[in-house]
Order: sequence, then structure tokens, then C-alpha cells
Amino acid sequence: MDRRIDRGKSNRYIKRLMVSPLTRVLTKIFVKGFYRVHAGLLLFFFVTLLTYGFFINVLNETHLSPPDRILNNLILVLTLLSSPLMVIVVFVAWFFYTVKSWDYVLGQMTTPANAFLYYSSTAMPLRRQTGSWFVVQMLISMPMIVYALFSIVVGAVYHYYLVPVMIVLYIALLSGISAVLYVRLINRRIRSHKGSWLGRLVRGWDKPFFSLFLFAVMDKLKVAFVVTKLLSALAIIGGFHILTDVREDTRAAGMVILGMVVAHTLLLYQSYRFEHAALRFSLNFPYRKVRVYASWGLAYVLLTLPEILWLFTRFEAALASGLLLFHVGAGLLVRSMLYRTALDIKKFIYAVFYCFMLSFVAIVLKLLWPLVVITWASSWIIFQKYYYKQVP
Amino acid sequence: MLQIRNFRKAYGTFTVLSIDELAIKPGIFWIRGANGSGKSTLLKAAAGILDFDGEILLGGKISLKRNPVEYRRRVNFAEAEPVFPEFLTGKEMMHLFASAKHAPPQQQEYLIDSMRMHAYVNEPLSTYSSGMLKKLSLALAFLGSPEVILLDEPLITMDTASLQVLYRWIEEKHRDENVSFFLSSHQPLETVWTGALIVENQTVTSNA
Repeated sequence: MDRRIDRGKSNRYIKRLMVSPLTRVLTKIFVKGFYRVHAGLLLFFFVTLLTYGFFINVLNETHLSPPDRILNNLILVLTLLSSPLMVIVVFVAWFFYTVKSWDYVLGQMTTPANAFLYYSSTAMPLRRQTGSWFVVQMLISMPMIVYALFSIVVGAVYHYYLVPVMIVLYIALLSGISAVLYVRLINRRIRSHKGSWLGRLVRGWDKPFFSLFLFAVMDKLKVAFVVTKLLSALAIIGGFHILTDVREDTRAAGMVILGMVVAHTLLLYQSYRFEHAALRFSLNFPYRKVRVYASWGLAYVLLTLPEILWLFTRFEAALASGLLLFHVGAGLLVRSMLYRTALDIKKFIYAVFYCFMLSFVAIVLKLLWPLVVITWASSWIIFQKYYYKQVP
Repeated sequence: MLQIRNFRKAYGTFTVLSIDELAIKPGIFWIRGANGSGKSTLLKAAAGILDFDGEILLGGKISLKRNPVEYRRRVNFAEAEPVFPEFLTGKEMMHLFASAKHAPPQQQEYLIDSMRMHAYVNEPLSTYSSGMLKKLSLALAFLGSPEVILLDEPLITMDTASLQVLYRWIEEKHRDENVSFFLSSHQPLETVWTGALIVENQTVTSNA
């Protein structure tokens, strides 16, 4: 009887928490915003996982029918959790995902538009604040929860009970830590942002227009940069791993470059976001369009310098130069498209997806070099048409 | 000096401003209008920051759309609520604007000195108050050799002493270099002004 009353109480508490005005406001600001900004990245992961599940070829596998093979592969992906090493890898990946979400939420917390939270939400009891932030973090962790649900089902079918329980506890732990972190920070008085240690290190340096985004990365986008570089490394290693039969073909090289550019989509989006918000004044600068275009091209080259150096060590100079042209042209095309789509992430993802598919087909058809010309031409045409027509 | 022809700016289906023909002679102009009447839209469009249909000409021949670089070299702008990269210092912003607008080196020092920004000009903008940021943005609008300076709500968040410095800058620039000014404000201007532009009913009329 007592237990039933307790359960009723806790159910009522959870229900109240879910519909509380604070949870609603926080969800609208942070959860929706998080998915809007990271939709591309999540889609990339989802497609990668699905592609892996559907198309991976198991060595010497001939006895399974195609539907069985797909099922087998999906189960393989899901039951990666049956291996202790993979559990660690997945947990580390989720930890990075959570750190990325901290980066986003803490960044948004300090924007002037959300400053009201410091003098409104803080009037509520700490327990209620923590509860609301916990719900927010759980919603942000939805991809992890969906994955966890899959593994629970697969675990139940294949009798793996320990790992699903660990997953649930791990997600709850990450969300709990996040909630405590958010509550602690929002209840602390706002401290003036004196810049990161990296920012302080480059304080006296000359900062020409083309370099401003690089300094912005050092200041506030370090996590996004690290995630991008990990994705980029994954595109290179994974690309050559999957494309074993055409490894020395320009097609494989072209596809790896395409993967690298897609991996940089998030950073390119952030660069436009930065230009849109903090460099709006530069639209009044008497700069020729070609200069602005070249500035962003140069910034992209500097951001992808490790990948470019890798290109020249992996391929002979002539091919590496051609691939470099494709890399920069495609990066600039993605960036130019943002002048058309603005911050509408849905439109942007669609545009990137269509370009990716068309480029993919062109590369398969051995049309890499015409594609290089087309990417440069289209990136310039879109840029010069929409640069002054940016949506406010 | 400034000619606006067949101007139309809409947000979605809502037309904010529509001006068939407006010719403005050199001078200091007070832009008046209720909240949301389109004062900032007019100034941002004239600064080349906001896209619009129609044409804006400077001196009868330099078109904002056909001669974007020449036009922007001659027209400076300060936003009502300036947003700059927080990691830059005031000095770095001054250098950036000075190099873009081809300002002589001594100009920066004069502006920093007279607006008394020395104490914090080497600090990152993230540490600035809104008044400090406003003073910096106004100083940036005076860099180079503009023919027109557009100031959106220049009086807000400024202390009395700084306002007097701003009025002095305006008077000096207008007297010595014949620079024209467009200032939007809800408060009366404490400087000599040539005329007013009234922004109401989705259009602009001049009483100069």
C-alpha cells in the first residue's frame, strides 16, 4: 500500500516536472536549438550507422540471403554491445556527445536573449531546477536513449542483460551530472568572459579579416573543432577501409575528400553563423566580393591544413593538387549555399545532401575533374548572387 | 546627395517601407518615427547591410548596387545595438575598420582620446558594458573619409559627457569635411540639424 502511494507520488512528481513552465521554456530554448544546430551531424552519424548496417560485406559470406544479411548486420551493429571493448568505445562516444551538448547549452545560457534565466529560474527550489534540467538533458540525449532501447530489445532477445542495465544507468548518470552542472552554473553570478587561454595567448596578434573565424574557433568552438577533426579522420580511415577494392583509384580519393568536406559541414555552418551574427558590420566594408570569397576560402584551407598535409603525403603531387582543388571548391560550395539557405538548418541539410549525392554519382562515373570545375563555378555564382542578399 | 528610387523593403508579405522617389541634400538629418516604423530598416538598407528592391544613389552617380565598393567607402554606419566578435579588443576593432575604410593612423588615436576609451580599449569586447560598446561602435563609424555617416539610435546607453563628445564630432565632421549625417532617435537632438525625415505609414517624407 505504502509502496503504491510512493509510486503515485513519484509519478505525479515526474508528470509535474514534464509540464512545468521551466521545463517547457528550457526545452524550447535548449533542446530545439540543440537539434536545429546539430541535425546535420546527427544525420551524418545515422546514415553512417545505417550504411554500415546495410552494406558491410562480411568476408566470404555467401550462405545468407540479402534480407537475412541485412538483419544479421543490424543485429551485429546492435550487439556490438556484447563486446566489452565496444561498450567502452560507445560509452566514450556518448561522453563526447554529452560534452558537446554542454558546450552548446553553456554557450546558449550566456547569450543576452537567455540571460533572463539567471534572474527567473533561479528563484525556484534547487530540486525543481535540477529536475527540469535533467529532463532537458534526457531530451538532448534522445539518440542515445533510442539506441539504448534497441539494445534492451536485442539484449532481451539474445539474453544480454548486464549491458542494457549499464546503458540505462550510464545515460541517467550523464544526465544527472549535466543537470547538476547546469544548475550550479546558472545559480552562480555571471562572470565576465575574459576569453579562453588560447584567446589570451593570441591577444597581441594581428587579426586580418580572413582569420577572424579561426580566432572564433579558438575562443568558443574548440569542441566543435575537435568533433569535426574526429569525423574527418573517421571519413579518411573509414573511407579507405570500405573502399578496399578501389583504394588506388581516384574514385576512392574523391570519395574520401567528399567525406572530409561533409565532416566539415558543422564547422562551415558555424562559420556562417559567426559571420551572420558577429561580422554583420562587414557588409558595410568596401571589400570586393572576390576578396570576401577568397577570405573564406583561405580560412577553410587553414582550418583543414592537417587534412591538406595528409593529402600531399598520401598522393603524388599532381593528384594531391587536384584533390586539394576539389576539397576547397566543395567546401566553398557548402559555405556559399549558406548565403542562400541562411540559418535554416533543414534547407541547408537538404542542399548539402543533394550536392553530396550528385558529387557521389559524378565520382563513381569517373567525372571528378569536371566536378572540380562545377563546384568552383557554382560556389562563386551562388556567393556573388547572394552575398549582399543575406537574410537578416 | 542621397537619392532613393523605387525603394521597397518587405519582410515576407509585409511591406515595411516603400519610397517612390526621395532626394536628400547634404546636411544633418534627424530620422523620426514610432517604434517599428522602419527607421533602422532605412538606415541598414542605406548602409548596404540589408537587401532591398530599388536603388540608392550617392551624389547622383555612385549606386549602392552597381558600385558597391565605391559606395561603401563613402558611407559609414553604426548600429543601434552593435554586435562584434567578443574575443577582439576595442583596439583590434579599430584596426580592422581603419584598414577596411582606409583611415589615416592618427584618426584612431584622436577618437580613442576624445571619447576617453584608453582605459579599456585594449580589453576584449566581452568585458565591455553596453555603453562602452556603443561608444566604440560610434567611433568606428567616424573612421576613414566618409561622405555620409548613418547612426542608428546613437543616443541610447551613452552617458552625458560622451554625448557631448559625439555632438562635437558630428559638428566638426560636418563643418570641416562637409559630411552628412542621418541620426535616428526618439529623443530630440542637441545639435544643429538641417531637417527631419519622418518615417510613418510605411514611407519616408522629408521636411528639409
